[in-house]
Amino acid sequence: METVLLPQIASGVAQATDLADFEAVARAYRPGIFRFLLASLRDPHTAENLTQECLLRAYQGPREFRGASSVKTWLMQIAVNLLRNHLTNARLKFWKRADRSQVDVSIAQDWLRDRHSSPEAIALARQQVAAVWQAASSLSERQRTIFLLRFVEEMELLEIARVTGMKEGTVKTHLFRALESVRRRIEEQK
Amino acid sequence: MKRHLSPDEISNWLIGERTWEHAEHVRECPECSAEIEKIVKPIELFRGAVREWGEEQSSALARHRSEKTIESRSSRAGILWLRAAATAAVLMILIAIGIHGLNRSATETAQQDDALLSEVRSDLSRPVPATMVPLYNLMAEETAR
Repeated sequence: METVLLPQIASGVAQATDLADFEAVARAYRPGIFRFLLASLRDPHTAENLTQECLLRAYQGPREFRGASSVKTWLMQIAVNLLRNHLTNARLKFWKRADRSQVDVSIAQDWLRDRHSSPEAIALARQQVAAVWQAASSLSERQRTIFLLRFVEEMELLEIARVTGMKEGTVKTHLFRALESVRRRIEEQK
Repeated sequence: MKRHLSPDEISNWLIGERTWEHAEHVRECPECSAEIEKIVKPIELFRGAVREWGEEQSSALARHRSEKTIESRSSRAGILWLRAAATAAVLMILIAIGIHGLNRSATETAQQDDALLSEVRSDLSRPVPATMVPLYNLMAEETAR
Protein backbone atom coordinates (compact mmCIF):
# COMPACT_ATOMS: atom_id res chain seq x y z
CA MET A 1 0.00 0.00 0.00
CA GLU A 2 1.30 3.41 -0.89
CA THR A 3 1.99 5.53 2.12
CA VAL A 4 0.37 8.91 2.54
CA LEU A 5 2.13 11.81 4.22
CA LEU A 6 -0.19 14.49 5.51
CA PRO A 7 1.48 17.92 5.44
CA GLN A 8 -0.39 19.13 8.50
CA ILE A 9 0.57 15.99 10.43
CA ALA A 10 4.14 16.19 9.18
CA SER A 11 4.39 19.78 10.32
CA GLY A 12 2.87 18.79 13.65
CA VAL A 13 0.04 21.29 13.50
CA ALA A 14 -2.89 18.97 12.92
CA GLN A 15 -5.99 20.35 14.60
CA ALA A 16 -9.59 19.30 14.95
CA THR A 17 -10.28 20.90 11.59
CA ASP A 18 -8.06 18.29 10.00
CA LEU A 19 -10.50 15.60 11.06
CA ALA A 20 -11.51 14.87 7.49
CA ASP A 21 -7.87 14.33 6.53
CA PHE A 22 -7.33 12.16 9.54
CA GLU A 23 -10.39 10.10 8.67
CA ALA A 24 -8.84 9.46 5.27
CA VAL A 25 -5.62 8.33 6.94
CA ALA A 26 -7.57 6.12 9.34
CA ARG A 27 -9.50 4.55 6.46
CA ALA A 28 -6.30 3.84 4.56
CA TYR A 29 -4.27 2.34 7.40
CA ARG A 30 -6.91 0.87 9.69
CA PRO A 31 -7.05 -2.56 7.94
CA GLY A 32 -3.28 -3.03 8.20
CA ILE A 33 -3.17 -2.04 11.86
CA PHE A 34 -6.11 -4.30 12.71
CA ARG A 35 -4.62 -7.19 10.74
CA PHE A 36 -1.26 -6.88 12.46
CA LEU A 37 -2.86 -6.74 15.92
CA LEU A 38 -5.23 -9.59 15.08
CA ALA A 39 -2.40 -11.81 13.90
CA SER A 40 -0.37 -10.87 16.97
CA LEU A 41 -3.12 -11.37 19.53
CA ARG A 42 -5.49 -13.75 17.76
CA ASP A 43 -8.36 -12.04 19.50
CA PRO A 44 -10.58 -9.91 17.23
CA HIS A 45 -12.14 -7.84 20.01
CA THR A 46 -8.83 -6.90 21.64
CA ALA A 47 -7.33 -6.23 18.21
CA GLU A 48 -10.29 -3.95 17.42
CA ASN A 49 -9.97 -2.10 20.73
CA LEU A 50 -6.24 -1.60 20.29
CA THR A 51 -6.77 -0.43 16.68
CA GLN A 52 -9.22 2.19 17.93
CA GLU A 53 -6.79 3.18 20.67
CA CYS A 54 -3.96 3.43 18.16
CA LEU A 55 -5.94 5.74 15.87
CA LEU A 56 -7.13 7.81 18.82
CA ARG A 57 -3.58 8.29 20.05
CA ALA A 58 -2.43 9.20 16.58
CA TYR A 59 -5.22 11.78 16.31
CA GLN A 60 -4.52 13.22 19.74
CA GLY A 61 -0.77 13.34 19.33
CA PRO A 62 0.11 14.44 15.79
CA ARG A 63 2.96 16.50 17.21
CA GLU A 64 4.80 13.28 17.97
CA PHE A 65 4.98 12.67 14.26
CA ARG A 66 8.20 14.20 13.02
CA GLY A 67 7.77 13.46 9.37
CA ALA A 68 10.99 11.45 9.32
CA SER A 69 9.06 8.31 8.45
CA SER A 70 5.84 7.47 6.66
CA VAL A 71 2.45 7.71 8.34
CA LYS A 72 2.23 3.92 8.19
CA THR A 73 5.49 3.55 10.12
CA TRP A 74 4.31 6.09 12.68
CA LEU A 75 0.96 4.33 13.16
CA MET A 76 2.59 0.91 13.33
CA GLN A 77 4.97 2.26 15.96
CA ILE A 78 1.99 3.25 18.10
CA ALA A 79 0.36 -0.14 17.45
CA VAL A 80 3.52 -2.04 18.44
CA ASN A 81 3.79 -0.03 21.67
CA LEU A 82 0.15 -0.66 22.49
CA LEU A 83 0.62 -4.35 21.77
CA ARG A 84 3.65 -4.50 24.06
CA ASN A 85 1.77 -2.77 26.87
CA HIS A 86 -1.19 -5.03 26.36
CA LEU A 87 0.92 -8.18 26.45
CA THR A 88 2.72 -6.98 29.53
CA ASN A 89 -0.56 -6.36 31.29
CA ALA A 90 -2.64 -9.19 29.88
CA ARG A 91 -3.06 -12.22 32.01
CA LEU A 92 -3.88 -14.41 29.05
CA LYS A 93 -1.29 -14.63 26.37
CA PHE A 94 -3.26 -15.93 23.46
CA TRP A 95 -0.31 -17.19 21.49
CA LYS A 96 0.55 -19.56 24.27
CA ARG A 97 -2.75 -21.35 23.83
CA ALA A 98 -1.99 -24.12 21.42
CA ASP A 99 -5.62 -24.87 20.60
CA ARG A 100 -6.03 -21.59 18.75
CA SER A 101 -3.80 -22.48 15.83
CA GLN A 102 -6.33 -24.98 14.52
CA VAL A 103 -9.11 -22.43 14.67
CA ASP A 104 -7.16 -19.99 12.56
CA VAL A 105 -6.47 -22.51 9.84
CA SER A 106 -10.12 -23.49 9.64
CA ILE A 107 -11.07 -19.81 9.39
CA ALA A 108 -8.87 -19.43 6.33
CA GLN A 109 -10.13 -22.68 4.82
CA ASP A 110 -12.67 -21.06 2.48
CA TRP A 111 -10.02 -18.72 1.22
CA LEU A 112 -7.67 -21.66 0.60
CA ARG A 113 -10.47 -23.57 -1.14
CA ASP A 114 -11.05 -20.67 -3.52
CA ARG A 115 -7.43 -20.74 -4.59
CA HIS A 116 -6.77 -24.44 -4.87
CA SER A 117 -8.77 -26.72 -7.06
CA SER A 118 -8.00 -30.23 -5.83
CA PRO A 119 -8.62 -31.53 -2.31
CA GLU A 120 -4.96 -32.59 -2.14
CA ALA A 121 -3.78 -29.07 -2.97
CA ILE A 122 -6.14 -27.63 -0.34
CA ALA A 123 -4.86 -30.10 2.25
CA LEU A 124 -1.26 -29.23 1.42
CA ALA A 125 -1.96 -25.50 1.54
CA ARG A 126 -3.68 -25.92 4.90
CA GLN A 127 -0.69 -27.81 6.21
CA GLN A 128 1.67 -25.11 5.04
CA VAL A 129 -0.40 -22.32 6.60
CA ALA A 130 -0.61 -24.31 9.84
CA ALA A 131 3.17 -24.80 9.83
CA VAL A 132 3.76 -21.05 9.57
CA TRP A 133 1.14 -20.33 12.26
CA GLN A 134 2.83 -22.81 14.56
CA ALA A 135 6.27 -21.45 13.78
CA ALA A 136 5.03 -17.92 14.48
CA SER A 137 3.44 -19.05 17.74
CA SER A 138 6.72 -20.55 18.90
CA LEU A 139 8.59 -17.26 18.40
CA SER A 140 9.22 -14.72 21.12
CA GLU A 141 6.85 -11.74 21.10
CA ARG A 142 9.53 -9.52 19.62
CA GLN A 143 10.43 -11.97 16.88
CA ARG A 144 6.79 -12.56 16.03
CA THR A 145 6.15 -8.83 15.77
CA ILE A 146 9.07 -8.45 13.38
CA PHE A 147 8.05 -11.51 11.41
CA LEU A 148 4.47 -10.25 10.98
CA LEU A 149 5.60 -6.74 10.04
CA ARG A 150 7.93 -8.15 7.39
CA PHE A 151 5.94 -11.01 5.93
CA VAL A 152 2.32 -9.97 6.44
CA GLU A 153 2.58 -6.19 6.30
CA GLU A 154 5.52 -6.37 3.89
CA MET A 155 7.43 -3.57 5.57
CA GLU A 156 11.07 -2.84 4.77
CA LEU A 157 13.77 -3.64 7.33
CA LEU A 158 14.46 0.03 7.98
CA GLU A 159 10.77 0.73 8.57
CA ILE A 160 10.58 -2.21 10.99
CA ALA A 161 13.65 -0.89 12.80
CA ARG A 162 11.90 2.47 13.23
CA VAL A 163 8.64 0.87 14.34
CA THR A 164 10.28 -1.37 16.93
CA GLY A 165 13.05 0.99 17.95
CA MET A 166 15.71 -1.62 17.16
CA LYS A 167 18.78 -1.45 15.00
CA GLU A 168 18.41 -2.76 11.47
CA GLY A 169 20.96 -5.50 12.22
CA THR A 170 18.94 -6.67 15.22
CA VAL A 171 15.78 -6.79 13.10
CA LYS A 172 17.65 -8.88 10.57
CA THR A 173 18.89 -11.30 13.23
CA HIS A 174 15.34 -11.76 14.56
CA LEU A 175 14.05 -12.37 11.06
CA PHE A 176 16.74 -14.97 10.40
CA ARG A 177 15.69 -16.83 13.55
CA ALA A 178 12.03 -16.58 12.64
CA LEU A 179 12.70 -17.94 9.14
CA GLU A 180 14.77 -20.75 10.60
CA SER A 181 11.82 -21.70 12.78
CA VAL A 182 9.43 -21.60 9.79
CA ARG A 183 11.82 -23.72 7.74
CA ARG A 184 12.07 -26.28 10.55
CA ARG A 185 8.29 -26.54 10.89
CA ILE A 186 7.84 -27.01 7.18
CA GLU A 187 10.50 -29.72 7.14
CA GLU A 188 8.84 -31.46 10.10
CA GLN A 189 5.56 -31.66 8.24
CA LYS A 190 7.06 -33.53 5.33
CA MET B 1 28.30 -18.14 -9.12
CA LYS B 2 28.57 -21.92 -9.17
CA ARG B 3 27.95 -22.99 -5.55
CA HIS B 4 24.46 -23.18 -4.08
CA LEU B 5 23.15 -20.52 -1.75
CA SER B 6 23.88 -21.07 1.94
CA PRO B 7 20.95 -21.01 4.46
CA ASP B 8 21.97 -17.48 5.49
CA GLU B 9 22.02 -16.34 1.87
CA ILE B 10 18.59 -17.88 1.38
CA SER B 11 17.34 -16.08 4.49
CA ASN B 12 18.84 -12.86 3.15
CA TRP B 13 17.01 -13.46 -0.09
CA LEU B 14 13.74 -14.06 1.77
CA ILE B 15 13.96 -10.91 3.83
CA GLY B 16 14.53 -8.93 0.68
CA GLU B 17 18.29 -8.43 0.70
CA ARG B 18 19.24 -9.70 -2.74
CA THR B 19 22.44 -9.21 -4.63
CA TRP B 20 22.59 -9.27 -8.39
CA GLU B 21 24.86 -12.33 -8.16
CA HIS B 22 22.36 -14.28 -6.05
CA ALA B 23 19.47 -13.28 -8.27
CA GLU B 24 21.36 -14.58 -11.28
CA HIS B 25 22.12 -17.85 -9.50
CA VAL B 26 18.53 -18.41 -8.33
CA ARG B 27 17.32 -17.80 -11.89
CA GLU B 28 19.62 -20.47 -13.24
CA CYS B 29 19.69 -23.00 -10.38
CA PRO B 30 16.51 -25.12 -10.04
CA GLU B 31 17.65 -26.51 -6.68
CA CYS B 32 18.15 -23.12 -5.03
CA SER B 33 15.01 -21.77 -6.61
CA ALA B 34 13.06 -24.80 -5.27
CA GLU B 35 14.64 -24.31 -1.84
CA ILE B 36 13.46 -20.70 -1.78
CA GLU B 37 10.02 -21.59 -3.11
CA LYS B 38 9.65 -24.14 -0.29
CA ILE B 39 9.55 -21.28 2.22
CA VAL B 40 8.15 -18.49 0.07
CA LYS B 41 5.01 -20.43 -0.82
CA PRO B 42 3.87 -21.20 2.77
CA ILE B 43 4.64 -17.63 3.81
CA GLU B 44 2.57 -16.30 0.89
CA LEU B 45 -0.28 -18.61 1.87
CA PHE B 46 0.07 -17.49 5.47
CA ARG B 47 -0.04 -13.82 4.41
CA GLY B 48 -3.14 -14.45 2.31
CA ALA B 49 -4.83 -16.37 5.12
CA VAL B 50 -4.07 -13.66 7.68
CA ARG B 51 -5.33 -10.93 5.34
CA GLU B 52 -8.47 -12.88 4.62
CA TRP B 53 -8.98 -13.55 8.30
CA GLY B 54 -8.42 -9.87 9.08
CA GLU B 55 -11.01 -8.76 6.54
CA GLU B 56 -13.47 -11.36 7.71
CA GLN B 57 -13.09 -10.44 11.36
CA SER B 58 -13.23 -6.75 10.56
CA SER B 59 -16.53 -7.18 8.68
CA ALA B 60 -17.87 -9.43 11.44
CA LEU B 61 -17.06 -6.77 14.03
CA ALA B 62 -18.64 -4.06 11.87
CA ARG B 63 -21.79 -6.22 11.53
CA HIS B 64 -21.78 -6.82 15.28
CA ARG B 65 -21.47 -3.07 15.92
CA SER B 66 -24.32 -2.19 13.58
CA GLU B 67 -26.52 -4.93 15.09
CA LYS B 68 -25.75 -3.56 18.53
CA THR B 69 -26.66 -0.06 17.37
CA ILE B 70 -29.97 -1.25 15.93
CA GLU B 71 -30.61 -3.29 19.07
CA SER B 72 -29.85 -0.36 21.32
CA ARG B 73 -31.99 1.95 19.16
CA SER B 74 -34.91 -0.47 19.25
CA SER B 75 -34.47 -1.03 22.98
CA ARG B 76 -34.38 2.75 23.46
CA ALA B 77 -37.53 3.03 21.34
CA GLY B 78 -39.05 0.22 23.41
CA ILE B 79 -38.24 2.06 26.62
CA LEU B 80 -39.80 5.23 25.21
CA TRP B 81 -42.93 3.30 24.26
CA LEU B 82 -43.09 1.78 27.71
CA ARG B 83 -42.71 5.19 29.31
CA ALA B 84 -45.41 6.64 27.07
CA ALA B 85 -47.72 3.72 27.83
CA ALA B 86 -47.09 4.01 31.57
CA THR B 87 -47.73 7.78 31.47
CA ALA B 88 -50.96 7.22 29.53
CA ALA B 89 -52.08 4.54 32.00
CA VAL B 90 -51.37 6.81 34.98
CA LEU B 91 -53.25 9.67 33.31
CA MET B 92 -56.23 7.43 32.60
CA ILE B 93 -56.28 6.23 36.20
CA LEU B 94 -56.14 9.82 37.47
CA ILE B 95 -58.94 10.87 35.13
CA ALA B 96 -61.02 7.88 36.19
CA ILE B 97 -60.46 8.70 39.85
CA GLY B 98 -61.41 12.32 39.16
CA ILE B 99 -64.63 11.42 37.35
CA HIS B 100 -65.53 8.89 40.04
CA GLY B 101 -64.89 11.53 42.70
CA LEU B 102 -67.10 14.05 40.91
CA ASN B 103 -69.84 11.47 40.45
CA ARG B 104 -69.65 10.47 44.09
CA SER B 105 -69.91 14.03 45.39
CA ALA B 106 -72.88 14.72 43.08
CA THR B 107 -74.64 11.59 44.33
CA GLU B 108 -73.93 12.48 47.97
CA THR B 109 -75.32 16.01 47.47
CA ALA B 110 -78.45 14.62 45.83
CA GLN B 111 -78.92 12.16 48.70
CA GLN B 112 -78.48 14.93 51.29
CA ASP B 113 -80.99 17.08 49.43
CA ASP B 114 -83.46 14.20 49.34
CA ALA B 115 -83.05 13.57 53.07
CA LEU B 116 -83.64 17.25 53.85
CA LEU B 117 -86.71 17.36 51.65
CA SER B 118 -88.19 14.24 53.18
CA GLU B 119 -87.53 15.70 56.66
CA VAL B 120 -89.33 18.91 55.65
CA ARG B 121 -92.14 16.89 54.14
CA SER B 122 -92.59 14.81 57.28
CA ASP B 123 -92.57 17.99 59.45
CA LEU B 124 -95.21 19.59 57.22
CA SER B 125 -97.38 16.49 57.25
CA ARG B 126 -97.60 16.44 61.11
CA PRO B 127 -100.92 17.76 62.56
CA VAL B 128 -99.10 19.71 65.31
CA PRO B 129 -95.50 20.98 65.68
CA ALA B 130 -93.07 18.46 67.14
CA THR B 131 -92.89 20.17 70.59
CA MET B 132 -96.67 19.82 71.01
CA VAL B 133 -96.85 16.14 70.05
CA PRO B 134 -97.00 14.79 73.69
CA LEU B 135 -99.86 17.16 74.56
CA TYR B 136 -101.59 16.31 71.34
CA ASN B 137 -101.26 12.60 72.12
CA LEU B 138 -102.71 13.11 75.67
CA MET B 139 -105.66 15.03 74.24
CA ALA B 140 -106.27 12.33 71.73
CA GLU B 141 -106.37 9.67 74.53
CA GLU B 142 -108.82 11.81 76.57
CA THR B 143 -111.14 12.19 73.59
CA ALA B 144 -111.09 8.49 72.95
CA ARG B 145 -112.25 7.78 76.46
